[in-house]
Amino acid sequence: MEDQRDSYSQFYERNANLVYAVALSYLRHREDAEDCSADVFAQVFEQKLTFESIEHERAWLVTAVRNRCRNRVKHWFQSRRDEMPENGRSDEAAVQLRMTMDAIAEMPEKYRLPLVLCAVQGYSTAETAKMLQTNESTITTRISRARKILRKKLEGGEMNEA
Amino acid sequence: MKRDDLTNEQEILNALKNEYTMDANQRSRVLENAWKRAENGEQGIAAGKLRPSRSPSYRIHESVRRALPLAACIAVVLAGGLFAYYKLPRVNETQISETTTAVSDTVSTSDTTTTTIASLTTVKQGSDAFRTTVNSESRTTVSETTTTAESAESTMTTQASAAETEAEASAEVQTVGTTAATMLTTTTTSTTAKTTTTTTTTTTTTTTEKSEEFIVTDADLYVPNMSVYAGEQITLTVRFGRNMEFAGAQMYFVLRDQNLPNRMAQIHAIRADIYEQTADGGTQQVETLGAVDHGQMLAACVTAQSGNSILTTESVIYLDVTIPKDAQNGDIYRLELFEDSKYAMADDQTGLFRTQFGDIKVVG
Repeated sequence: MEDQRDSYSQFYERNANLVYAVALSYLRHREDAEDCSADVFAQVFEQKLTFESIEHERAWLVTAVRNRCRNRVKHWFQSRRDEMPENGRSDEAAVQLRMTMDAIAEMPEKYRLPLVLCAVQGYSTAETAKMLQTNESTITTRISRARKILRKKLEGGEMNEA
Repeated sequence: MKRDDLTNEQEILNALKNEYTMDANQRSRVLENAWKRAENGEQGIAAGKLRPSRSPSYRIHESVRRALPLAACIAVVLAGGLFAYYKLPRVNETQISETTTAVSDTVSTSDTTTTTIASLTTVKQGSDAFRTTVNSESRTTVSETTTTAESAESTMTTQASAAETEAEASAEVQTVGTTAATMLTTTTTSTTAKTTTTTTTTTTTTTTEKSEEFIVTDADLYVPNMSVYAGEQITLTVRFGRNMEFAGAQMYFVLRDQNLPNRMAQIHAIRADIYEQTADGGTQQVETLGAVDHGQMLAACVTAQSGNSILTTESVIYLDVTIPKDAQNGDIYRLELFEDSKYAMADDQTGLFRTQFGDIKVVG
């Protein structure tokens, strides 16, 4: 039992940030993202899931957390929650970060996830493509468009690229 | 943020990594919650436990989500109730339709009941006391009169056999339309019931001696029951239930509050399409005089020019009336017909030829 717990703790350490980042990009609320992440890991622990490879476990986790987040976001109560965390900072850098996070949060899902996973979390294009179960070239294109949208948004324009 | 600042775009995205990354406290909290949920998920299913340690915001969210359908149902029911209470007319349409059905059943099954109209008409001539009885008792409810009529049917069958006008009366009633039949029989059944008690003291030997006189019974004229609002202007349509012989050919109408006899609805106009029976048995339209102003038009009169003729069931009289604005919910107005104007304006309840028909109920 202890061995199993240790292995799952390693599993958790490996993937905690990935799950949390995806959840936060959907839910835009720190507590809800934590709650959703805990749900996904609880399912793995409870059902004692095992995965064939690192890529497999990442792809499974991204899909699982994405589905849970979609279920929550489509509810009217959750869809009205728009509370990105401030982390208690009020300087100019914090304001810029907040604006950027808002802009990312308002992007369409197909651009937001590659940007968060690849450009923010630092996964490679190949890793991101496997997690999102699509082609590398598609990921590259989407990241490029996401950056364009982000730039345009921060300049004050509208997001017309969707 | 301007374009110049975006030269460091990647740096900003790198800085965002901190925002999208859990700190140590968050990591340990999420891991702890995940294990708790996993353990309670395994053991709690058997123990019947709910999953604990949800975040406060999630619990609020779940509570609202679960309560929402019930709250919506309650709101819809309340809104419907309030709408029904305040907006819909407070008249029980079901009761009216049920009553109508019951009465029409009686009509279709009992020819003997209709024949008693004729015998009643003849009996009525000889007894003022009997007329009083008819007028005072004609307000009983339809359900009661229907029951009474059934119980009195056998008695009336024997009496009707002695009436000379039996065949004529039954034939006339059968020509009345569906709605007309309903209204006609509503009053017919009540009359029938009274006849059973009256004929025990009044012999039928007085039958046709005065049958040539103009006489009005509850069954002879009818208007439909209506629901109206205070101050509403309506048109009452009055029809003949049978061919009627009018000596004076003058009819005075009053729409009177049954609780306050001094209060009457204003009649604006009276129109009439009167048909009389010709010598060869056909019909022809009779020229009529229009409305006659009588006491600020609280009573209206129609006069058939031909006089002394038999007016047929095709005849129709239209009365344009306005219900008083101060009428209360539940007030009942009834149309009254008089042969003589001196009775029309008086609130004397014992007018010789006074009759009542049709319930005009005030609602809202």
